[in-house]
Parts: sequence; structure tokens; C-alpha cells
Amino acid sequence: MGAEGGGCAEAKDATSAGGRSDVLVGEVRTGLLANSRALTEPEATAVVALSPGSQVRVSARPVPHAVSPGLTLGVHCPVPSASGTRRDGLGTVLSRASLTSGRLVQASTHARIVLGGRGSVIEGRRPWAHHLVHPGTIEVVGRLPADDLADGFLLTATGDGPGVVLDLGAVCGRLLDQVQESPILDQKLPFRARRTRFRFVLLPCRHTAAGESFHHSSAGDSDTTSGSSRAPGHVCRVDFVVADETVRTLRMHGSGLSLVDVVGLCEDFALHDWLLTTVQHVVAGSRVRAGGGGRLPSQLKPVIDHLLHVWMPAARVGEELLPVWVGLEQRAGFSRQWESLVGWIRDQLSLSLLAVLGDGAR
Amino acid sequence: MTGVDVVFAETSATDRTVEIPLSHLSVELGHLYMEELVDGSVDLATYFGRIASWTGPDQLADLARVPRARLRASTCVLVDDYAAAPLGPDVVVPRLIAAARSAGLTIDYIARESGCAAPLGGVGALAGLPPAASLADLVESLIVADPAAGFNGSRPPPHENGWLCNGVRSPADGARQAMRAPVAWQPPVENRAHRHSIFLDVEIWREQAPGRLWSCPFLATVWQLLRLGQLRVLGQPAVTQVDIDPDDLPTTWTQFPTIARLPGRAAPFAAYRTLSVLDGRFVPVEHAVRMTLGQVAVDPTVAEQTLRRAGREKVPLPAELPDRVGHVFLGG
Amino acid sequence: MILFATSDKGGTGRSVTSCNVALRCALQGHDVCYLDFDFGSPTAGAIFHVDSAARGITGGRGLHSYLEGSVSAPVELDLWRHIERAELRPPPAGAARLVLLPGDEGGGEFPIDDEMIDRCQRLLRRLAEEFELVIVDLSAGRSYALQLALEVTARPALRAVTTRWLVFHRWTRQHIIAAAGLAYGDHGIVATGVDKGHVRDQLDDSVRFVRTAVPAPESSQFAGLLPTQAAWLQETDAELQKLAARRRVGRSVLLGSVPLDPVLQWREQLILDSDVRTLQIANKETNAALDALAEDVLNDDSWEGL
Repeated sequence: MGAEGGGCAEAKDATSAGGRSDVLVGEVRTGLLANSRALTEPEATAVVALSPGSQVRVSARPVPHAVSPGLTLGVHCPVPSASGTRRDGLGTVLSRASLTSGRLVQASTHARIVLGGRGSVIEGRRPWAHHLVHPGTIEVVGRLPADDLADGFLLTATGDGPGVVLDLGAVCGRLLDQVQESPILDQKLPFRARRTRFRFVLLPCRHTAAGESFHHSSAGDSDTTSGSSRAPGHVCRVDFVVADETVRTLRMHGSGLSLVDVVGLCEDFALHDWLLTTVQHVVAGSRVRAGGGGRLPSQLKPVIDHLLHVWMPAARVGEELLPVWVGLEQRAGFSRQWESLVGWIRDQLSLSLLAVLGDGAR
Repeated sequence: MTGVDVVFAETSATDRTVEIPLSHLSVELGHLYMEELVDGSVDLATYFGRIASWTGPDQLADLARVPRARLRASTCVLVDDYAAAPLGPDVVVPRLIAAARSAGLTIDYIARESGCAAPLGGVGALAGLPPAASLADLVESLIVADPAAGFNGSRPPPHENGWLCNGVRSPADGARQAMRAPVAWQPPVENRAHRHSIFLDVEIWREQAPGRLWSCPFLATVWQLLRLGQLRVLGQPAVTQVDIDPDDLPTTWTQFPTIARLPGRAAPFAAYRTLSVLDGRFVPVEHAVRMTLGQVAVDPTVAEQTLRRAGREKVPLPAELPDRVGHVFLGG
Repeated sequence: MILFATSDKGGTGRSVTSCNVALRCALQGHDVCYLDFDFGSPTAGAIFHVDSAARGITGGRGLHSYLEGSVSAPVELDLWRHIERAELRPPPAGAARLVLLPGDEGGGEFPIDDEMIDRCQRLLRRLAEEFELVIVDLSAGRSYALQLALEVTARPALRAVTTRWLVFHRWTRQHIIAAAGLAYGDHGIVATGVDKGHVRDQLDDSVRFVRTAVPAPESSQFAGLLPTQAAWLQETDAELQKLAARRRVGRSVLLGSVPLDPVLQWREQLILDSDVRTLQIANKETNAALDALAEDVLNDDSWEGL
């Protein structure tokens, strides 16, 4: 059951008012579906029908996409904190699984963490039913600065260690495993690809006064471009970091945004980052072992068959979050890099065709 | 940029959830075991008479928190036919109607408990449910267990094996490795106990050929959720009421609708709130019902629709399901 | 593919051979991951020259902790970053991923419960998704690890994944009998597997044998033998071949033979080309045998049904 599964566009924004602030934390894991060919729409729907009686959302354009109903899990544990402050949270996290193009699989888990302000009442005694009214919300007792929470969440080395702190990654990983174990899948992957982990936070804007700017920084470097969109929702700053080969983090400051849309943006972002990472890896491998005489490196075929057509940036990103995509495009050069990779693959394909023609002429 | 706002939407990408008509209050006029109907140990007229004194229009309007003139309330009875049904609808239904009428009560709806455990049929298959899946299966899948302190998501939620509780069980006295000291007994703990624990552990189902045997408190929870209008299958109402003719009743309960509407001008079956007037012996069952309801996460779209509608009607309505359920327990 | 490496008894060189196969497959461009399921003595780290995990990993994040449920994912060591051999720094061009999942330092054997089977199945299926070759090094003999492996591979989620079994044994009479017993005997791999839900013929077809510490009479080691000694060696070898055939561990199910080599026996570590060429401490026959084994492991023809 999930808020995003519903038709009601509940726009709970990350705000800070009266000393309270909300922080959205989440993780998306992306991988190649464990099946030899792309799934048809009915198959994809069946694979993500994870909650009996609830609807799978399916769309066909611009690439086929099927999203499971939201799945709710109760948690009662300390929330992350970079300073090591122990603050207990109680509530639920929401997860969903999605298939893109019948070929890529994603699991995403998120929670809106409501940090108590000064003089927050002890909410620990609220009955459990209270926490089921707004799935995907964790209420924290006691003071904890939003940045402390965000840093704790994003900077944790992997999140899989033995520990007592909220472990969204584990929930997300289990869901991805569950989808991949579906009996509908034949477990015959056309090639091997690593899963990536994309962790994100949405924090309130630091300066809510006019004149905010839209930042984007990649792997430490930081630059400023103007172009924040106006109300109702807007984004003040975005930091995207490629933390290691498979871990990426996104820190966003914004206000008035629909959390459902932010999660959607992150899923779309994680998907394209995975495509880029995976194709880059395959191309790097085939450059080393490039076949002689213009032969097409065998590793490239599955990439051409299964991945090249999936690239559809910002297909499901709402208007108010589009500037985030545009900004990342400019700085991280997602599309430029993709096009260069695709160009190289096409060149190899042409060379191999020429070689075949040459053989025929001889 | 063209300056033209282009909106593209695919209808299949947004789901549709049907709203169903709602009364202010669904009133359950007692509950009897099938054996009591068979052996006649209960004087039905007296029984309904006592219920009637708690279900006057003023009392109901007060409980529903609406002015009496605006009150929409429907009445219902759930027949206990799940375990055994020696008497068919053709015998039981006229008896109930007559006895209620003698006490000045009108029964609007009669439901059968077995309907909560019966296969959903066509609509269930569409929803990806196994062919034999029932309303009970559906509701079980909606349970989001109240987490024990320390549950951080790193492990899957513990297998409950058909039980649901409101806290942490006393550690099992399992096999110990050799040379280890035995563990001292530890009490169970209620989550968010108020100073002291009232620990409750409820059997939801038991494996019994040919399938699961659902517990009475769990079927009663399904019943409450139906009365609260919160169950949907693929956005459609999980059960629809079927009109019946009291003069032409089937002889077996399987031929009887899950929820039957008797002739008359009945208000809608489902309601914002429910009231159940029951014998005191049902306190444990209803305690279990409240606890289970508190761990059921219904479709948020449905929950939202209900709250919004109550707001429009200016009916005060608690967001938490257990708080929408009222009881009157009668002494002996 | 998931490849389970097991042996009839200890001291067959199972772990060191498996590690060398893993390295060679990765060098040939196949993504490989190696799981140390030798729960009683998790020393794969030492074989791979990973000092920080020589006797398992510290901090409670190894396979023991994962299977027992105290961590949600076991640690995965990227061996190209951890192998302390200068020849492998930086990793050779074209090398694919090579990852070690070590056990916990101080970890021991443990009995199996249902949740452990769930966790093991999830882990293996995920690794099979990301890696072309998943090598699981099991403890010797009829161990909990072997039981766990047979149990999880019978689960629906893993049934579709190709799983294969390698039984390592020394080239002696006792070892041949014991290896045959482990594969086909009472409570052996096939019997237990069928019990857990495996299809007998399929499981039968997926078992192959590797002979280790095989004396190679034609090698330089034996150059100084007397004619009588050489004849005796030939004769004994022929007898062992006959015995192996009778016990159903003959040539048709043989995946490879690794010669008797003191480096493998004593150092129990990776053998690199430099060990053969520059240092001249390892035999080139050993190197060639390991290369051949690595190739055959990934070649479907060597696993064709009989």
C-alpha cells in the first residue's frame, strides 16, 4: 500500500516550520532483469504485482514502464546521524519495484523523516494505527538537525554493516531480490551487470528568501547556474556525487515539492546512471579486447540488443523538477557521455559491416 | 520553448479507485453462535429487546456525531456459518427478521461469516491473487505489523506463522548449545505500553486441510473493514451487496450472498463508523479485532477519499481505524 | 554459473586450486566471485594474498555473520584492490571483476535453519545475476556447508540458475574411493540432493572430478627415475585409472588434473606466471593444468550430459 500508489497527489513538502523539519531519505537500486529477453507488458505487470488486490501502474510511452503498488514496512529504530546522536524514530518506510522496457529492474525505498523541533511532545506513545495513516513517514522524538541526519544517511560507508540504525538499503535490496526471484523470470541473463545504489535526500531550502540559486556539483566540484523554477515547488541546490563504482548520492534542497515526484526523479536518474555505468563498463572491456579485422566485439551485441533504446532521460520527471535534470545534464554531461558511447558502438558496428562486405568482395 | 503547455497522460498509468456510498453509522445488532440458534437456548425476542434499548435514534446520532435529522444508519447481522451450518438461510433469516421486528428493530443487511473466507472469484484472479484467495487473504496482505523496538529493516520481518501480537513475545525456551547457562524467563512486552504491559497475541489462521482455517477474531476484523468501506480489489469494491427476497431463500449458505440486502429503504451498508452491540463474552474477540485493525494499512487512496468526504459532510472522523469502531457490551 | 567446490577429505588442495581457477577466469575477462564457505577454517584470504582477511574478516561482516542474520549483506572484497602481489598491481588490462566474500575471523561450523537457507539462496541468486562465475568453496566431506548448498540449489529461485559441482580428490586409492562415496554414496551429494528435491539425472550430470597432486611420470621431476621405478609408477597409475572407472569417477567425468607441485602443496597460494618464469619455483605443468582447468570450467562442452 503506498501513497504513491494512489491517484491522490498528496504534496507533502519538505519544510521547516516551527522548529520542525522534514527530510526525505531514500535509496534506489538498479539492475538488469534476470531474464533472457525483454518482458511483455502482461509479464512485467505480473512480476511487479507484489501486493494482492492492488493495482500495478503501467505506461507504454516513451518506454514501457510498470510500477508495483507501494509496500509498507514498520520500523522502530534510531535514525542515521553523522554526529552519532541517537534519536529513535517510529513509523513506516515505503518501497516499490519497477520495470523499465521489460529489461531493467529497480527497487526504491524511501521515508519522510519528521524531526521534532524544540519542545516536541513525546510521540512515542501514539498507537501504531496513527503511523499507518501516512505510510512512508517516520516520526523522530527529540532534536536532530536535518543536516546531521542527511550526512549520516549519505555518508554511511555502505549501510550494510552490523548496526542498529535505520537500514533502507537492506529493505531495498531485499525487494530487488524478491522481484528477481519471480518464477516468471528464466534467470538467464544476456550479460552480467552490476547493480548500482543511488541514495538521495531532500532537505528544506536553507535560504527561503528570494534570490536562491540553483547549484549543482559533481564529485566535489561545484558551480552555479541560474534557472530555478518558480513556485509552487522549487529546487534550491543539488549535489550529485559518484561515491564509488556502484554508489551514487544525491543531496537536494527544495521546498514545496511533491515527494512522490522527487522519488520518481531519483528513480529516473538512477536508471540512466545505471545505463551509463553499464555501457561504459562493457565498452571499456571491449576496447581492451577489440576483435581484430573489424570484428564486432561480442560483448557489444547484448548492449545493442537490450540497452541502447532504453535511454529516455527525464521521461517521467515533472515540470518543477525538470531544472534538476537540465542542471545535471550540463554539469555531469550525462547525455554527452551517452552519445559518445553510442557513437563508438555504432562505429564498431559499421566497421564490422565493412569487414564483412570486404570479405564478400574478396 | 513553444510557450504551449503540453500535458501527456496515459490512462493506464493512473489508477482508479471507486468510491462507495457511506452511511454515518453501521450498527451490528448482536452476534449469536450457530449452536444457539439450533438449540434455542437464546430467547431471540428478549435478546433483540435488550439491544434495542441501546440503539435508539438519539443514541445512534450521538455516536455518529451528526444531528439526528441527518443521520444515515444501517443495521446488520453477521451469521456464524463458517465452522458449521446445520441450519440454512431459509430457516435462520426469517427467524432473525421476526425476532428483531418484535423488538422494534429492522435488519437491513444480513451477511455470512463464511463469505469472508470464500474465494473472491473473478475479480481476485484479475488482481493476481491465487484462485482460492479470499477477503481474509486480502486483508492479511494488508497487515503492517507494529515493529518491536530495534527493528531497523536490516532483516525481513519475523515470520509470524499465523499469529499477530502487539509487542514482543517472551523469548522462546529453545534448544541451547551445550555448556551454556539457561536463560532466565523474560516477560513479554507490549509496544508503547502505558507503564504496564497488556500483551495480546492473536491467532490469525491455522493450517488445516484443505487450506487455512481463519480465526474468528480475524474474520471479525475483515467484517469491520467491510463495514468501514475500506476494502478494494484493483480499486473496485471487494464485495457488493445483493438484494434478496425473504420469501425465496436458499437452503444452504453457499447459495446466499456474502452481504445480502433485505427489502426496504436501507441506508448504505458501509459507514464512517461502526457500532457493535454484543454480549460481554465477546470482549476478548473484539479486543483482538481492535488490535488487528490497528495493524492494517488500507489503500491510502481509499483512506484519503473517506476522510475527504467526511470533511465535506462535516462529520468528525478519526484517521485511525480502531477509533472508528464502537462497542456496547451487555452483561449477562 | 554457480560452481561448488568440495572434496572427500582435507588436504586435496581444493581451496588453492579453486582460487587459482578464479584468478585465471577473471584474467580472461570473466566476472568472478569467490565465496569462502569453508566455515570451520575460512582462509581464502590467505590464499589470495589478502593480509587483512587471511583468517577471515574482522568486524562481524563476513559470510558467517550474514548467514546467521546479523548483517544484511556480507562484505565483498574487490581483490584487485586487496591482493598483495606486485605483479597484479595495477590489475592486468582486460581483467574482469574478481571479488572475494570472506568468512568471519574466528567463525566456526554452525547448524542450519530455515532463515539461513533463505539468506543463502538470496545471496547466491544475486551473485549469479552479477557474476558469470560464482565459486563456492565448501568444507571437506559431508559438511553443513554442503548440506546448505544442496538445500538452496533445490529452491525454485535457484533451480533455473546453472549449478555445478566439482569434487577434488588426490590421486590415491583411498581418495578415489572416498570421492566416489561423497558424490554417489549414501548421504552423498546426489542422494542428499535428490532428497532435497533435485532431479537425479540433472544433478548426476552436473558433478565432475578434479584429480590433485597427480604424479606426472613424464615431467622433469621424475627424470632421474630408475626404469623399474618408472614402470611401477605406470602400473600403479593404470590400476588407479581402472579403480576410478569402476567407481564412476573415470575419464568421462574428469574435468582436470593438477600435478603434484610443492608450491601448491606448501605455499597454498596463487600461482602467477612470474612464479614459473622468473622465480622458477612452480612447474610450468602446474600452470598449464590450472589454465586448462579454468578454461574447462567455463566451457559448456566439458559439462555436457553423458
